[in-house]
Amino acid sequence: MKQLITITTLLFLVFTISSFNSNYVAEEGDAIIGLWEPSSGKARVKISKIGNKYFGKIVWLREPIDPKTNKPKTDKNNPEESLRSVPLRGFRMLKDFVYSGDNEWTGGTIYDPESGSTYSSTINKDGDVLNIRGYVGIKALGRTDTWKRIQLKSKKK
Amino acid sequence: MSHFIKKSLILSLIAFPVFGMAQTDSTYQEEEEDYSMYDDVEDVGTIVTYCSPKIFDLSPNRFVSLGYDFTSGGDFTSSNEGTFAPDSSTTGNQTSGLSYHGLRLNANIPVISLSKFVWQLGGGINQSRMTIDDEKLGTNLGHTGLSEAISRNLTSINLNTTLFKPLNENSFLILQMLAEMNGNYDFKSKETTPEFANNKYSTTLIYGKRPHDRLQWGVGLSRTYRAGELNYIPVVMYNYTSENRKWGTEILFPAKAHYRRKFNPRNILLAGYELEGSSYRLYDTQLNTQGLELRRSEIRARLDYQRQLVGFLWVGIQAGVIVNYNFNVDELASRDNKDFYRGFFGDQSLVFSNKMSPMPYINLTLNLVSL
Repeated sequence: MKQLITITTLLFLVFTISSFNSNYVAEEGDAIIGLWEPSSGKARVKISKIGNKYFGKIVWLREPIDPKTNKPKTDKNNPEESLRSVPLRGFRMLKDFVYSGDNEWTGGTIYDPESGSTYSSTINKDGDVLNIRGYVGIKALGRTDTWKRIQLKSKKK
Repeated sequence: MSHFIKKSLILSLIAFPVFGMAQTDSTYQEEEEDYSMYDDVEDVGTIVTYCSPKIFDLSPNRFVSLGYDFTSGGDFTSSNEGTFAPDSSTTGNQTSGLSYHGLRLNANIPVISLSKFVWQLGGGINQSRMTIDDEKLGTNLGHTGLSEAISRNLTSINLNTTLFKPLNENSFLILQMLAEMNGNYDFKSKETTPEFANNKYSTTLIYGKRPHDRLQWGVGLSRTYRAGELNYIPVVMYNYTSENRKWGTEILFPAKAHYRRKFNPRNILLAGYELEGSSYRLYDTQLNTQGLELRRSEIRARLDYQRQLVGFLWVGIQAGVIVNYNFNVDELASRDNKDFYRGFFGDQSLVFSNKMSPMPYINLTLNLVSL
């Protein structure tokens, strides 16, 4: 019986400590949530959290209408033909990032709608700026873009 | 009591993995939202906006390229060893068959790749395994001596670097530098081991504009060996993609110029030419003159088909005709082994005045790319 009580207590402690720690890490990781603009200024991306991962979707395009079709731009460069009619606005271009501490989010992917390519990616946050690196295979084979934080005019950060 | 504890234990064993596990759902659907609310925003962070080094739909940037080059047979016509004016009228009449093939392995790695600055470092090895069939010519010393030297294969090992510095949203500078160790060396003996003093150095500086995502142009100056011998020439860059994004141009004149046809983002065809060449030191020859430099340059008029195999792995197939531009030989021993600038109007004499007939070629590559 004593053994049973000890095991239960230990399990309770482990759960409490791990959830406290994960809450703390999650709070730090949530610093990435919000609105961001890539260096080209051609889009705005809203990063949010789903489960314990971070995703970013395009919420604004500088040129939302395709001049060829006169309709909202779609993901026409996607390698999968069935996805080429999906609207770009609302498209999730950042996927599956996990906060790994020290202002870095790893394990995700970034999609480039201009080429239809998906790159492995890491995000590094420096104040109100994100350095987002997309790469092929190893980190050395990649390129880093700098995104700035923006906010809705009616809403303070 | 014991019943309560047992229940607690069972509950905690069930609850622990559930709460402890990641709750990830990539298929999660968000609610519809009014995207017009994102029209009006203000900056919190600040960054300076710079122009990109690329435009839409350029052919893929090759991180690593492994290829093989084959030519069919052509004629190699050579003078005797002597003194010749630098014009084609003095070409000799010793003719033999010539063909070549060889490995081409090149890498180009981005050391720094930021919005405000890009620094790429590359290197490569390119071989031409020459086969010269001159059995029928007898024993003309000049021609067979040169044939023997060239037949030991021409190798080029290079290191190169490219700096791209955007100045603002629509203008930029590009600086390219290239160091090459070229020659018929094989490292088998002291006489056939290359010397660093014979390395060739090229550089190009371009100032350019990028008015929009489909156009990039620039002008600059180049110190180059592409014509086989040292030259200082102006260069013009013009990369363009049409409004319907089906065709475009990729031009760095006079080094290369291509028309680009995009069938889809993973399937493109280039048609045009590239001027390839450099100066190769001929080591350990049986000739009277020493310190010889083979000024090799060829125009490769071609179709270049590139397509995705899987992911970022692409295959490239080039087919076309090699047109000889320069295959003459200069002697540097009497100039303290220092290279010289002849340009288009210099009258420094040649030791061999040679020609190659046009010959078909094919080049196959496997490339790790970034789009």
